[in-house]
Amino acid sequence: MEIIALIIIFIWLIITTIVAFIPGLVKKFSLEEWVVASREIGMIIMYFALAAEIYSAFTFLGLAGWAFTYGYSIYYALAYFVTAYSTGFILAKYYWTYSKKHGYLTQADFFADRYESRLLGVLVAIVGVLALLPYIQLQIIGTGIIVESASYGAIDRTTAFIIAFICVAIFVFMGGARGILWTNVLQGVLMFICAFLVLGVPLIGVGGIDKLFAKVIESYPQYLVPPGGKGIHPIQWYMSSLLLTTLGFWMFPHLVMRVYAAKDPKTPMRSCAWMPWYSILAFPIVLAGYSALILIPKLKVADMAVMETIKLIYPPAIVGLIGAGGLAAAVSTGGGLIQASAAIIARNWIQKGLWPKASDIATAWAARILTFIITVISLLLALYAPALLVFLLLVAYSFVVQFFPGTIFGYAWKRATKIGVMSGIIVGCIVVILTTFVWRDPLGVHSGIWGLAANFAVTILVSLVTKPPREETLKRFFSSY
Amino acid sequence: MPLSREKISIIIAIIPPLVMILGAPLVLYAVEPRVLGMPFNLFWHVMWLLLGPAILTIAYLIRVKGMEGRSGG
Repeated sequence: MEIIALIIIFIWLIITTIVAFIPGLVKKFSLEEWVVASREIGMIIMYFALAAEIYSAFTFLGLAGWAFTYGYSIYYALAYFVTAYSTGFILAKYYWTYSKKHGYLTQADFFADRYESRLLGVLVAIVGVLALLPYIQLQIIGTGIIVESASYGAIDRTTAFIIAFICVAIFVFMGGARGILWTNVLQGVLMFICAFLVLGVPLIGVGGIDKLFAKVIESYPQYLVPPGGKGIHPIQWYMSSLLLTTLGFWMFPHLVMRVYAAKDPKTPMRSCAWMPWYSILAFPIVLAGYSALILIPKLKVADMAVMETIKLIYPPAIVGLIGAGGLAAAVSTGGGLIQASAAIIARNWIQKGLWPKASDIATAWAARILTFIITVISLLLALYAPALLVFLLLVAYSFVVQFFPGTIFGYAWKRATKIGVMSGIIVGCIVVILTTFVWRDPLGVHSGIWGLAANFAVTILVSLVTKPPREETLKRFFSSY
Repeated sequence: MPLSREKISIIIAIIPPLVMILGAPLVLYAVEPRVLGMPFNLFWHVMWLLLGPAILTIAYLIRVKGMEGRSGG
């Protein structure tokens, strides 16, 4: 009867592929449609689609794996699932208003236009895609783990993620932004329901939340407070990681692009305001991680904590359903990231970089073709260069947070210049590399924060000694309110 | 000069990150008292998941009123 789990997962994959395919058939194909869904998305779709895109395989597997391995420090994720939406709420209005007024399709479009520099646009587009790639890989590996485990090994992880991501490439190619947003509404609802099914692990498997923590306090008291289970997460690690993710979250280019797809500025603002309620789905997953400490302390692969604990208490049909929820989490994020990367490369590497004469429709076709190229490259990376899920996510964050000074100065400081912002991003990324690989997190403070501090200093100093943007450009920006 | 609605709304929206980051040294070491079975530092995070949207809704309402006022006049 275990095959039923695999059947449920497979049916779900087909449904979501078909739903994402439909806009490609009924909507006229254009660059604006494929990249930002013609800026027509309303509140309900935006809310669930954003949720599905934001909450990923990391949420579904990584949080439990982390709680199982390190304990308390995973609360930084619960915390940024609140705090990042403050940043999002504040920025979304500016993102949307400027993109509508000046016709931006990508985050790099904004940098290129505001700072009068195509080169800066290309730099932002390159760093942005570099930050997205490991994140795509994360979803691929997560998909493999989920499907292999939920099918009780009936299908191996490599076959599973290749099949799933061929489906993803096909629906992204056809449906573009609107296809992703539509299908992600379904994914977002399923993920939420399935996360709450995981609550059965602490409640049924261990015998209640009270009992769970009584046991953790008895056997693993060091897990519950800084510096955590392995002793490597002092309080300043928590604080700096939380600051990093709070500032860096809405610098991710795919999320900027989703804000552009809204029909008015209130839609993304309200979606952000209410998103922490959706974030509650992370709570059962964290509890499952602690439960694994009690139920299966010898678990070898920490990221299997959710899948292995649900098997202890649920029949195959429910395991399959939760597996489909996990697949939904991975695929909805993976699809969005692939579409965003393809759009950024087509728009800012090609149309506004190497081949400025490219028409919009040629650029849109380039983006579609790039969907397949990026998917294949990501699959190869997942096959031949796999690494720990969360580590990759944190390096990606350290890079994208380097867009923060250029973004807020773009809206709030007329004197910021292209050379200033460009050198800030470059120095910031170099400092991130040094504080990640040479001197790991000096003073226990996250590498991204060191990069950001250097970036702010360089951006301000260099801006003050270089030529300010032209008067016309500044007028265009600072009179839009 | 009184603060604009935009600025008031931004200040309100910054409350959750400010309190959660700066409050961490006071809260993160606390396992007791346990609330609903959870260690206090975990309950603190769950509480913010529920409270955050309430604060942001207030910020939203203030900000939107400011936006409408401007486009109307």
